[in-house]
Amino acid sequence: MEKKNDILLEVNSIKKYFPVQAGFFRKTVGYIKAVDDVSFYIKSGETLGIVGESGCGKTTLGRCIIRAIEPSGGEIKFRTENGKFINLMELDGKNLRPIRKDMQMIFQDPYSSLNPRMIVLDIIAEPLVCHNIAKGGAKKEIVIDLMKKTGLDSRYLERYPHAFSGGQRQRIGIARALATNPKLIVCDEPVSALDVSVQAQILNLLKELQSSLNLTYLFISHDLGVIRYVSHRVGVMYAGKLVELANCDNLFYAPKHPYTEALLSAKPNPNPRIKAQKIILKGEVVNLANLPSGCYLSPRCKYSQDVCRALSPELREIKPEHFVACHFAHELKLQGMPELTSQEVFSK
Amino acid sequence: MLKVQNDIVLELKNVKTYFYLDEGVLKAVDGVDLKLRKEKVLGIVGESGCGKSVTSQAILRIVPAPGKVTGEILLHKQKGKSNSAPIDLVKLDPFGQEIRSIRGGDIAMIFQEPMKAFSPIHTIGNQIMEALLLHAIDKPKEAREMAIESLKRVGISNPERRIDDYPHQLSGGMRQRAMIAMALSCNPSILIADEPTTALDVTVQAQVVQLILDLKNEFKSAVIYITHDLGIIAEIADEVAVMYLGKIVEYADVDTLFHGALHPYTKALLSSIPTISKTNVSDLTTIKGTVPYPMNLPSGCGFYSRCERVKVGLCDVEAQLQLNELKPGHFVRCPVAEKEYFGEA
Repeated sequence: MEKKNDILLEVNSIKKYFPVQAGFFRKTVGYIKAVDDVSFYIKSGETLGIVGESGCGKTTLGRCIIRAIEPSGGEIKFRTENGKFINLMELDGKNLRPIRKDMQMIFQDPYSSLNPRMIVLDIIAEPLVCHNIAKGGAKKEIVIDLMKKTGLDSRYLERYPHAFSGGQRQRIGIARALATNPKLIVCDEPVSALDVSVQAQILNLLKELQSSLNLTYLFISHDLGVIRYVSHRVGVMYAGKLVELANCDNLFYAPKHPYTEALLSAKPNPNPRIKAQKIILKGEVVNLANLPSGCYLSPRCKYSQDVCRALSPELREIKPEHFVACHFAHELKLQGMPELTSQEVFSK
Repeated sequence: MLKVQNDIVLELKNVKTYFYLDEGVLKAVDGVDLKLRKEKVLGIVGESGCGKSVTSQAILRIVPAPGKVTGEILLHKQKGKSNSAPIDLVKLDPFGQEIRSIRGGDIAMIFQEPMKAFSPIHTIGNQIMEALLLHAIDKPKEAREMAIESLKRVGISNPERRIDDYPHQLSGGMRQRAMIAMALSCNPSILIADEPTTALDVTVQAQVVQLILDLKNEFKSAVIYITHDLGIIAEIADEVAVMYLGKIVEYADVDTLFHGALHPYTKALLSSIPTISKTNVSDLTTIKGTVPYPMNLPSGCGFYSRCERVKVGLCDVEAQLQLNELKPGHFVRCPVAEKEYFGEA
């Protein structure tokens, strides 16, 4: 039971169904299953990456966990300061408030996530005010300290967000997320709006902060390269379901789900000497309002058989810590990333 | 020698695009020299604001209002008389007859966001037929058949029905396919693709990149592929130009660029992308600072403030900063890298 002790967050079959309404009386005619029965846990101090294409429910999942939107069902267990596991789903707004301090979020778009009419000091200090942590001079000191931690010049305290570049704005967003000393930070595509050279700065900053402040990240991204760089374990989502969950090396070098294989193969590799055989999935991401029967990937999957079209596969543990939702997870021989020595990657 | 001349379809000589604004002169493209060869893919790569899109707009003379294009853009026409003298696109009237016959006819373009590039109030069939009727065919009926044919070729299923769909009825990948069908309907000799897959998901992106490559081989056209994604460049391009602040800083064939880059910016860019094949994942190098705003820049190298190998007396002297050919086909704009290269050799 030692393993249990370092788990910070445990999510059990969380669901989010958005009703589809039609007609004059807005009658509910069906549901969009944005997140459908997803379970995982995150250990303290680790990063769980969630990767998937647009519309797969990864952002909805992140928002459900901090209860920014209300999940339709499931359990979110979070370890509080005194070491007790609390099911967040059972708490109402008032009781949830103190726990909100421990969970913060970093948003994708550094332009729309900062209020243009507030100065940096007020933006970063807002969580401190909301949670009654500090006021006046003490508040300002904390903000200056946060700005230093995130690599911002504290002379910019009184400026408005428009005076900053995209990378600097994202640093402001990170400083704001750190203000309440959280344990868990949900990073929702924090670098996808940034240029590559700035992206690397922010990723390195997030990694540094993780080790110095012992943070736990749920890191959501569509970019496999970014996920590989920051994550310890990775979950792959498709059409609202988790299809594969494993540690980084297993997932990238020995994927067990055909969708993971296709994602890895589709990712353009910045090395013209690798001319690997591309595995190109047919068609497009499924429409969540009109899901196929059985496995949701079956219309696009080249390995699909009759059983795939009839039965929806469960997420099962095929090796320790390696979960796959595929009927043929044991049988299929899938292609992962080619292993390279560092000289082969970039001969300088 | 004559043969080398012949396979060039488009040549840019010292092309500049300046925007004369109230605040000053914005040098979006500042002296670009490029050569596009027949049946080759030229990749232009750089971060946002480096002038890669404006370069493509300058070629088609669709630079928005206060922008002025100077220099020479020589188009060696492949259609009709092949021995005719090249046309300088800069000298043409951007609203004139001649450039309008070249747009879509000789040079076609695929835009980043197909939703914005298509008209939302016309069916995709009508929009493809418009291009055909302007450049190739007189009869609408024939044009419609050809439009169906071109939709089929880009892999749209059931093209007879899809042709009467409006852009919003298609998915992102489908729309980009329809855009490619429109661009290729008049069989252009040059295709400019400006970030055609940036708005798409990776699995769909892989399909579209493959489609562009297949069609390039089928139509024997030359492609200018503009992107910020070095991964796609490595897969698709034959030659690569790396742009920074309106200037080409390095220009080489794809293998040389990825395995023997010399410019500090290219090197930093290559090592700052997190890739899935890097075994040692702990060393992502960063470039300090951000891209400066391209207005009222100090003289000297644009990368000066971010470069780690700056040498005073070299990097801040404008005369030293020429795009020099260090070895055949490998051009670098960096006096420090140049000195090192010849020092070692």
